[in-house]
Amino acid sequence: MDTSKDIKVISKNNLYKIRKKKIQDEILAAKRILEQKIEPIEVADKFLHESFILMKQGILNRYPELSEEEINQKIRKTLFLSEKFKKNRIRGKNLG
Amino acid sequence: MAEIENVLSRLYNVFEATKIKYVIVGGIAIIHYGHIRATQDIDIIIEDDYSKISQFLGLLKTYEFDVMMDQFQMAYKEKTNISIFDDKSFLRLDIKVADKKREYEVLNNATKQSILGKKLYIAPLEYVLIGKLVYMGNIIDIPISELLEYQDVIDFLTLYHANKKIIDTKLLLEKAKEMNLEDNLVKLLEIKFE
Repeated sequence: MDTSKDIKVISKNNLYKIRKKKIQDEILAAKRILEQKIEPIEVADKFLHESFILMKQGILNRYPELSEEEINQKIRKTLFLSEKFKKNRIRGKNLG
Repeated sequence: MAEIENVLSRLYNVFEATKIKYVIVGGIAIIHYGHIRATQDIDIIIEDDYSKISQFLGLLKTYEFDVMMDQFQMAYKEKTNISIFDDKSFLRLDIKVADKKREYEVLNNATKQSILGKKLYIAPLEYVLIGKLVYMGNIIDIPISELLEYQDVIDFLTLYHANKKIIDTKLLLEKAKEMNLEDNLVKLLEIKFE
């Protein structure tokens, strides 16, 4: 089924506005955290912990036969790949 | 105890025992100054003192970090980063032995701050921002609309604007100038968020 007719391409200008708004939200969130004297690393730690649990559950749902060690290896592999992609983006551009 | 707290707590014990000069930089420093985001590694710069480094690595092993000595030796010779996996979590230590002027500068200007109840040396905010500028590379030719999608840029802008009142802008400009990154800094600061 071709759905390409239904996809609305976001214009460059709108994309800029969307990205800017996202950063604006990040700034506001950071300001709030700092004002409330909450330790940001504590929040990040909880977030990370829950993310790992979710990843584990997701893998286990897809591959119920995997052992704990095999699941951990899959997570490490996924994390390694996502980190690699992220690092390549802006630096890759600057090489040329 | 969740992952970051657990790793930092074991690291604290290692640092206290070895007395090696160190500074926490990267993602953990970014989060510490208010920008909550995911990170998988704990970036640390350590002083180049081989006897202390050997003791440091030995203790990391004792505290259940997966230290591969041959990889470390290679990284030490080539002056590159070394990743050390943690046996108890999915986090990684990313260690760099200081050899560049800017790395020594961060090490010498590190401040002891409370992180999850432990007093640890961390890079001052201005140096975290400069670090981000360095890792961004040359951004002059990249359109702003595109720039805003990069993690390093998001980190820089979030930290800068959230902490604007306390940032030593003079120091930031001075350091950017020293590293020929002044144009990049100006380009980022020209993006208005108010």
